[in-house]
Amino acid sequence: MTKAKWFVSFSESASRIVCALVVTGVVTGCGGSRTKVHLDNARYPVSMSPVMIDRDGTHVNSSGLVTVGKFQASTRGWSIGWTAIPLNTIDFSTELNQQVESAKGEAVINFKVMAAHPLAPDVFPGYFFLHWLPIWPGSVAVEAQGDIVRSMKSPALPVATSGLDQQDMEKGMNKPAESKTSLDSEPKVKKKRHRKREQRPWDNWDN
Amino acid sequence: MRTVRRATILLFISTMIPFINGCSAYQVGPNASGLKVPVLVGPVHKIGGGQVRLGAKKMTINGEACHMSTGSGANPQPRVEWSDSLAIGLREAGAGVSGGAVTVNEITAGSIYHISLAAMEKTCVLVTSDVWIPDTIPAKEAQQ
Repeated sequence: MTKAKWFVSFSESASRIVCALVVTGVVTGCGGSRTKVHLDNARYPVSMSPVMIDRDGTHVNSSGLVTVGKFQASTRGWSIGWTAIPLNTIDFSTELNQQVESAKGEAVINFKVMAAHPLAPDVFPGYFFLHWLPIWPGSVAVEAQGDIVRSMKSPALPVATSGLDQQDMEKGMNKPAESKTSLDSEPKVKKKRHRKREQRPWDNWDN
Repeated sequence: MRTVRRATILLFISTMIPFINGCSAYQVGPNASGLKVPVLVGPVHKIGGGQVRLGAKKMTINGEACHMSTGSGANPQPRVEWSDSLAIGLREAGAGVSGGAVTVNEITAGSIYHISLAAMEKTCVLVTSDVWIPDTIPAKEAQQ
C-alpha cells in the first residue's frame, strides 16, 4: 500500500469515527430527564433565600429566626422522548409538611433543589445506544434541602413532656387513685441479686 | 464472528462507562442565598399563613447550571452549587427590591446525561420559573 492510499484510508476512518462521535454526542445529549418541582400543597412558607416574611409582613433574616431542623427530601423524575415528555411531576409538599410539623417549625429557608445522577438506578439508561430510542425512559435524581426555622417572635414551645403527648397526659390525670406516689407508699427495698460466680481454675492457685 | 466480537466489546465498554463515571459524585442545584429578599416557593408566603401581593411584573427566568466531567471521571468531582446564577437572574429581572418578595411558581430541574464514546458526561439544572417581581421601591441594600 502506498503512502497516499494509506493516508486516504486513514483519513476516511478518522472522519467516520469523528462523525460517529458527533452523532452519538448529539443524540445522547438528550438523555436523562427533566422534571418540574412543585410545592403546591405546602402549608408552610418556603424561601429560597435566607429571608422570610414574618406574621406582620416584615422581612426577617436568619438573625430573627431559630433553626430547629433540616428539611431533606429526594425523589426521581422520569421522562421519555429524549426528555421532551415528562412522566411525572415532583411535589415535595407532603414531605415538607411532615418534616416541618415534626420539627415544630414554622417555615423553611435556604430552600434549594439539586439534580444528581447517581449510578445504581440508571445503569440501564447508561447504555448510550438505548438513549437513541425515544421510548427509552431517562431519569434524574432530584433532592431538595432547606433549613426549618421558627420565628423568635413566635410563642415559646410548650415544655417538653418527656415524650408524652397531650392525650397521654390526660389519661394520666384520669387514672384511678390506686396509683400511689412514692411518698405515700412504703419504700421498697431492692433485693440485690448476686450472680453465682463460676469457679475458675486459677482460684485455688494460691493454695 | 468479528462483528459479534466487536459488538460484545462495545457493549462491555458502554456498560463500564457509567460505572466508572458513577464515581464522580457531582450535584448541581439552584438556590438564592445571595438575595436579601424572600424568594418564595409555594402557596404560603408568610409565617403563620397568608400571601404577599404579587407584583404586576411577571418574568420568566431561564437559568442553567451545568457541570461536565470528561474522561473516565474516576476522580471525584467537587460538589458544584449553583449559588449565584439564580440570584443574578433575579436581580437582572429587578428582584433586588426591599419591601417585596419574589415568588417562584415552579422549579424545572433537569439533567442531561451525555455519554459518548469519549465518556463525556454532563448534568444540567435548569430553572424555568414564572417570577412575579414586586413593584416596590428599589433599594441597594437589598442586593447582595
